[in-house]
Amino acid sequence: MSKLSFKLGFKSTEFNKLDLPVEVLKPNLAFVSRTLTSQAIDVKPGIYLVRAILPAGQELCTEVVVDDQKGEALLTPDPEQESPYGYHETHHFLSSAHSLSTAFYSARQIDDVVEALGVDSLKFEVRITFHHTHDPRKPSRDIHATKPNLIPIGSDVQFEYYSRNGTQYLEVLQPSRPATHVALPAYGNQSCLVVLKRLLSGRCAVDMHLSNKEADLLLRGLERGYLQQAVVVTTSDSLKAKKLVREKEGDPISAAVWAYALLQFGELDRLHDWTENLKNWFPWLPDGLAIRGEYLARVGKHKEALKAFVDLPMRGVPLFSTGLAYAIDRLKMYINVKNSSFSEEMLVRADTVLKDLLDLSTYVDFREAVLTTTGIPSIAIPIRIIYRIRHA
Amino acid sequence: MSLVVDKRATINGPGLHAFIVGVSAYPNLPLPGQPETPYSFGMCQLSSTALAAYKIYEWITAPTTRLPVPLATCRILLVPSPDEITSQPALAGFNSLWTLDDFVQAASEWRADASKNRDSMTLFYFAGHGVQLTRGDAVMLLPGFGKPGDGSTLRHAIDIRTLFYGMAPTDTCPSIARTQLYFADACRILPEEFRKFEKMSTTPIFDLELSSIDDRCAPIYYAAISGTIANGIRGRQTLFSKALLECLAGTAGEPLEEDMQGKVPWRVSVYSLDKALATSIDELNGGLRSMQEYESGGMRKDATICFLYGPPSVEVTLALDPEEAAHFGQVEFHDSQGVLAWQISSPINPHPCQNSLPAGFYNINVAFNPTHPPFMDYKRIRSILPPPLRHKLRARVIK
Repeated sequence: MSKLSFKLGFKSTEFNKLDLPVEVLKPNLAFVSRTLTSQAIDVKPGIYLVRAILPAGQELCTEVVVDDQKGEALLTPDPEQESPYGYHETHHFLSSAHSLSTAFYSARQIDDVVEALGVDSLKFEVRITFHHTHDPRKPSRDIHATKPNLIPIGSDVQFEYYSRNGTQYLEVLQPSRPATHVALPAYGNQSCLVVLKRLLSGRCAVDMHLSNKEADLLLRGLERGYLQQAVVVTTSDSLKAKKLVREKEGDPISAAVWAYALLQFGELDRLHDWTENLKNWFPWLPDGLAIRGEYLARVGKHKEALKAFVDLPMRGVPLFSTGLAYAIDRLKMYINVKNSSFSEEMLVRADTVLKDLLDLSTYVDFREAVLTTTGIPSIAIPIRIIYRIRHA
Repeated sequence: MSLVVDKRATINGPGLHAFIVGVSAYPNLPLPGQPETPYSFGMCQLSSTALAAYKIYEWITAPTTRLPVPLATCRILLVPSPDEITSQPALAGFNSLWTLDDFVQAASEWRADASKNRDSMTLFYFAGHGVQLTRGDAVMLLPGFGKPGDGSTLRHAIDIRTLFYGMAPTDTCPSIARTQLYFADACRILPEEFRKFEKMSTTPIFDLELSSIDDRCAPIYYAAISGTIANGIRGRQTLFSKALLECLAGTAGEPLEEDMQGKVPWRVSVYSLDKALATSIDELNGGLRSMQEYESGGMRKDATICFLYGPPSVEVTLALDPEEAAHFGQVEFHDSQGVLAWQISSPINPHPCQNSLPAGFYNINVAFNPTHPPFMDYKRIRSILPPPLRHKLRARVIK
């Protein structure tokens, strides 16, 4: 057997280290393996086709000849798929929504042909506020937050956000639209990348990227329905539970994403005690309770599961919409189950928590993996961001 | 009343137990164009959902359909409209109006059949009116909906989550089928009038029992994302069922490992169907100018839904960019075994050019011979694999 390994040819060193899921097929399309670019596989000598699909839709394809000892598949984006800037590759390849960015790039191609009959740039204004709160319905402006370091990328703007402690939300206000609140999935020195995207409709949408690229890839894969690829990403070294769930350290945000994925795929064996550790070692993280509760429910420990869900108000609202959905579903079920051994007190608490979560859910866009609400009233004095973009 | 396929006596082992429901002619709802009633909540009779459900029934019972386990039982409850019966006369055989009790009985029997072997599969498909009570749920309206003085507003409605949790393994049903497919082909909108009510409940189909270890593969495929509508093509079928059947016929196909004879089996799986449905619905939206968005939920482990006979053919459209290059460029597609699959000499006419190719990887070459600046030769490897079944390629031959 020979070794087939993989190499990426992106612009940035950081992105070339991404543990990307790849599919290996024979020329007759026979399936060989799904693996990660960090994990070489054993194959017989011959010709193989290697394919990787990125959450933003780009597909990388190559043919590789494996000799008696080895072969290496180099996956690079085609010129028309490339990100124009290395520092924009995260959003360019891992975004899960459409933006005007693609129109910006094509605008460069039609510059010679098209002329604007008037002013050829638009003022794009949004106002943002950072809230230090565990519930977007209870905004509390973070008075220590300063104007972020904005980097314009075409018609979008991005910035890194570093969390202080606990849960934070970003509020975005734009003309003629209700306020949007988005949970900020950052903790300690694990920042998140916030991208404000101007869509073709003129609306500004918010995209979040985790600093752990594999966790981000996993989140996007689940959002875009790339389930086969997402299953493989859960085996990445960057997402080893031991590394992510370490007391007082670790990366609880990425751990939460990994745990949600395993719950969706029904991989209960791989979760075992990690959900208890995640819940106990990061007492500020609401998702720790939601994940633990759902895991306990799946293994038939319903009393403990109910306890986890009714404790949610002590920590707040899950940062990821999957956690909110789990809590609502389970609480509804537990309230309606017949002949349960739940105490009356627990059922009353469950009903109270459920009503509160249902109220919140009316604002939530469940298509977005990171908890995103629209329409919660804005009260704070925001930071104003104005910049000009070329109108495409 | 509802059991139309019963092979329990001949199948000694796991089987597929299907429960298919399609409601179009809601007797208490007005026809399109007629005035609303106090209990219609803005809804009227439909003319595509019963036929959509019937087409799913046809697929599941077709001798050409290759299921991973044999079809053991199929229960079907339909309320077709006259237009649908005209379109498909076989629907006249399903014209008896059934009630909530009939549905509850069929569901109980379906669950009982599914409880005999954990390696069995179940398939539940509903097409009809749907609403939401809270964000995230999916409530399906049965034929009795809208009848005045017949109990609560949602007495003739079921919540798919109740069905879903009611089918979990429990101490009383330890051997329930572990592969369960759910399809909810209905809208998920909260009618404005429902907001007036403090609390509304649907009929619980099963008594909910706390589950034991829930290790099911149980995806739920929703035709509409929370808070949006699902569409039907009047007198024909729903958009979701059209996409679903296309996917099951090949759009969701994926290759498996070679067998001992060197042949490559193809199948549709839970994961491949999820991806392909999103793509297929997007495509159909383009043609129908609708904006339907699909989503999935439930417990998404992978499993085989059906086997295919081979790779599907994929329709490929190739356009050169800029268009002027089509006068001078020659195009060749070679498959991964080096065989020339498609060749077009210049001038490329019609442009864009179109062809049907077997699914696979292709080396695409666009050459300008003689050279024709500013146009450049173009070489790419592309996977022409489903989804989608229609690939649009653009070859940019200029800097």
